Amino acid sequence: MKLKWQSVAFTVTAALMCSVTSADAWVFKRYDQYPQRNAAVSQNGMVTATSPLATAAGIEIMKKGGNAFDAAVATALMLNATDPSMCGPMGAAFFTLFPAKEGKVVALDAGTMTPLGMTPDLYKTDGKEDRSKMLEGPLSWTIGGALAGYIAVLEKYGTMTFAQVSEPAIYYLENGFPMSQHDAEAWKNGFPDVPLLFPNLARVFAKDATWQEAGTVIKNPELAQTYRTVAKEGIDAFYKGSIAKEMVRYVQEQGGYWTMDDLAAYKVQWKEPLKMTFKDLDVYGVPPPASSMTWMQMLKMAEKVDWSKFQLHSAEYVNMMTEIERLAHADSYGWGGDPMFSKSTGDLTLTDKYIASQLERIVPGKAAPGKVQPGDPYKVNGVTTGEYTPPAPLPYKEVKLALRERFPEYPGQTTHINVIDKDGNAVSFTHTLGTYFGGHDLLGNTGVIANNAANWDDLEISHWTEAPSNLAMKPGARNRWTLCPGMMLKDGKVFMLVGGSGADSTQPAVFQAIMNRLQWNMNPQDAVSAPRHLYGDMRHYTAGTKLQVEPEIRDTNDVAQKLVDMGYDLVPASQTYRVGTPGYALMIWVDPETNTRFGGAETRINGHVSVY
Amino acid sequence: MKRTQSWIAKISAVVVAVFGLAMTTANAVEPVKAEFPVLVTSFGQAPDGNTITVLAKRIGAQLTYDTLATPEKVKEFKTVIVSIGVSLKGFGAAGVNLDTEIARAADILKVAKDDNIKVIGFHIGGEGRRDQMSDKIIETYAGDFDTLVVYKDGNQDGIFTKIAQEKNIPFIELEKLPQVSEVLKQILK
Repeated sequence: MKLKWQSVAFTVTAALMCSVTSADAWVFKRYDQYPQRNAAVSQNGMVTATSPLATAAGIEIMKKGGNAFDAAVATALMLNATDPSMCGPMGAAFFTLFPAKEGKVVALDAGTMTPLGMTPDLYKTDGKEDRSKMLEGPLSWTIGGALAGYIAVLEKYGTMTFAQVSEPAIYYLENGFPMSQHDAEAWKNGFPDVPLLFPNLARVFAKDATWQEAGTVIKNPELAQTYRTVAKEGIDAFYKGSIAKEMVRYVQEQGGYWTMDDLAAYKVQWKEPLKMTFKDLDVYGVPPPASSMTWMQMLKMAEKVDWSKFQLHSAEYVNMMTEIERLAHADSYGWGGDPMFSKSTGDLTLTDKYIASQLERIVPGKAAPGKVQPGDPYKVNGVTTGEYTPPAPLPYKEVKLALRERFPEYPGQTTHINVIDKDGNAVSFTHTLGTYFGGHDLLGNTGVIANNAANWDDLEISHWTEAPSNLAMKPGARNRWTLCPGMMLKDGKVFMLVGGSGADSTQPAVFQAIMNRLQWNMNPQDAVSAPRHLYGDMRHYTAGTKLQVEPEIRDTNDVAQKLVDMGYDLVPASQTYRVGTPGYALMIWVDPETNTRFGGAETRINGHVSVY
Repeated sequence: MKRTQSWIAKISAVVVAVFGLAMTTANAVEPVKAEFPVLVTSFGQAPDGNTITVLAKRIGAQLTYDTLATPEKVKEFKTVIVSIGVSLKGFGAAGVNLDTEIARAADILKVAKDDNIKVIGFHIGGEGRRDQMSDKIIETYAGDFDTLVVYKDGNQDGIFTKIAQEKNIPFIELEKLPQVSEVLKQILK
């Protein structure tokens, strides 16, 4: 009882102390304690992405007269070419878009769809869950929508043809691009044995079944040919025509379940964006099964907290941020499924009533024990009847993941792009193949890499809630992704573009970066580069008290000991690195006074900002 | 004798030229043939045992993969394939350390010797699996295997060649990784 009153008092005080933003609030503060690079600045176009070739492609398109949407697709296609382990035409993509003339944000879901022949019983061995088949190989491959998404964006808002925007990517696919040290090491350490197990992938990316060294020139002319075919024949070539036939032939030959009907049935979904306010800003994301709802709920909770009582990166700050993150994250596992196939809501998790009920569950200075459970936004908001009692955490127990997933080298990965043009058109979108090189194979001779979206499904039971899962695999349904692009407007104009990658570490990374910008006045580069914390880890099913804190926070002011005293299971310092897995973020912020764009890109990976 | 050796060298050269197989044997001892059932386990928790299991399945051989196989479990099999190589985070994931892995390896090898179970060692992780801890396992136990199969990249200093020669162990060195499948065909047929 005592604890509950403390929580209520805290929440009320926090709400009263909440301040309204003003123009002065956006002035950058210096954070000299963290070695950083400067935020990029421009008055015209800006692109942030995870490859310098990709950001350059986007800028090149804008210089040729293309708008932000043309540039976004060119950047995406270049990433498909030069960052092939992260994204591809058969992956998932979620977009928030702001066509300036229309003056409103729209969302596009180009997620992945389970083929009708793929059912949970395929993934059982002796009646027990066997996730190894979901991780790689033909039973992990589902129907991807990324290419359909790129083309839908281009057709609705672009000014150029697919042939024009694919030109830069095709050049590098045919003439080759040199591998960076980051990619060489990531590919080698990611899944060292993949080239041996998947010779069709190795044929293009790993000569003699050996991942190549930094500087090696990689070509994928088969993907260039696929793009040329799409440019000539349209997207139907990919989902219904010659490319589709070759992909289905190969998948079936490998023991997979795709049919031509599955591919032909794929459609992108234009959606009303998920919307809320943060102080005087309008905040937008993509509704489930994308995960924008997660960082949006975190931010909405943060709006009600009096942060003037906290010191940045103190143990108390990390505690409050972490408990907020845990609550919102649990909801994502509870309510973040495909709304056509499951009980799913983003909107109801962002109402003032629900946010207040969530904040009441936090006991400042304490780590909630065990696995924090999803709340019930339906009941709190009166959609369903009955008295609401916040669920108690479940005891934490380790989940047995697929054998290969337990190896360190497994890194869930994705990549995010922000683009704004001189006219204020903007795109914030995230695309993925799932894990490194997705499902680990090329689909026949198309140059297209298969995703492993099946690995992001539950089978029947949620390991988080230990109850029947809203995220369970269903034929024809789209799986939940951690992709969570976002956009903010102020007075009807773009104020911030933000997103990130890193599987389930993405949402807290995006939230922390936004807080760094809006609450602590860091410039966008500092905001994404500043040290972060991560509860659980980047994989599924880690809802316990495990907490990883980057060294600059952990090793100062006795933070580590204080967090342990609060009840966190702190990852040992010897296993905590500055470039570990605390998610990756990219941000563009537009100064409302001067209209100048400031860009920041993740320093933990190959983040870049290009401008003109 | 010299003439015989010369003929063997010429025939080997022809085989390499025709079949593109640049596998080499360091001594004249024939590699053992596996008897089924076959268990695959790891000394060091690197994921290479999974690779071997999957590749074996592709050539029609069903092996049992258990990264943490106990000596009691080993007794149920006639052959054990051991993938050698340390993965630190693999240790963390499995809840073991170098000391416990070394102790488990010793127990497994003792049971194998007592029960006449064949043990075939694979080191296919290349230079990346030649860290200090991997080397401790290699130096301690590589001499106890009935056959050693090693990817050349992990034998640049000749440590496996030396051990195989000193202990007169059948030894196959792979020029290229895809040859793992060829060797598995030989051993498992």
